[in-house]
Amino acid sequence: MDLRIDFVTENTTRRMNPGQKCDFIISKLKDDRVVVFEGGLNPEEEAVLIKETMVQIDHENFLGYKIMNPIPIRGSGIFTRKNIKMTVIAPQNYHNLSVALV
Amino acid sequence: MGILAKIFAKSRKQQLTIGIVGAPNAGKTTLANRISSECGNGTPLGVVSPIPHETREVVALEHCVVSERGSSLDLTVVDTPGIATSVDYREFQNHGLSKQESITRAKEATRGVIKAIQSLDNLDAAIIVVDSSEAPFDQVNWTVLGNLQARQIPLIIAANKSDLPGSDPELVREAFQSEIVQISAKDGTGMDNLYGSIFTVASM
Repeated sequence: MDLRIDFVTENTTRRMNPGQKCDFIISKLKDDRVVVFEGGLNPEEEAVLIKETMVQIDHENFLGYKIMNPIPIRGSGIFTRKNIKMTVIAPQNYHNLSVALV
Repeated sequence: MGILAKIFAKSRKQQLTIGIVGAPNAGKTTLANRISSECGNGTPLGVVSPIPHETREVVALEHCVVSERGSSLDLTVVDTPGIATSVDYREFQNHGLSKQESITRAKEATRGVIKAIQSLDNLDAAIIVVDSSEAPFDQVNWTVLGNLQARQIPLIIAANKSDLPGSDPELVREAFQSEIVQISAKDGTGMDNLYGSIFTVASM
């Protein structure tokens, strides 16, 4: 299976409200793409994304997503979330996807 | 009672609606039932099951009374469905449900997740239940944490399932960079500490 990744800059999403951002993400997930967001999503946007995803799960083709906020491996605070630069969102079927920043 | 204690008691809420939130199968309903049996009328808030998304409705139990040093706190305990970013009906088939039963349950589960998120708006405080026998890096926990913080809702992180051999509450503490309460909702270990933490958040 090919892995298709869309890198989305902050500039692309800056003018989107949370609902628009979620629609943007879900459309890419349904197209079986992994989305890498520069700047990431904030918790409120993540909650909106969960709710909208639950509405759109069709139990056949779209089953939801995996989300990761990778943090740098090097440097201090390996478990802290201070240096988050991006959010990675993948279709649910990417069971073994993991991301590391080095 | 000292002056500080009197001020503290005066500022503390007498009633508190506290939600039990977190990912599926973290032990939320086990904890809700434990609180009901120890502080309430003993009515179970829900069925405990190894099948994920067993709890698909928000259920509340009023008048669970917690006491500490002569003070009491009247809790409304709100048990919520597990919050997840995906629901795959095939997971239910792996637990022996038929395909049709699994799809029906998956549909109910998606609605339950939405209800769980909506319930965050109606809480005075929350207990985030984390399964300490699993790696505590499910993004859902941080989504819940961030949303509670954004709403300025005081919260407690409960590292549950401390009775299991693989339990690692210290990893939960490191992951969240926060104080945690180590409990086993199943056997009741650590519940006194949890009730103490509930008293603390009632003062916030």
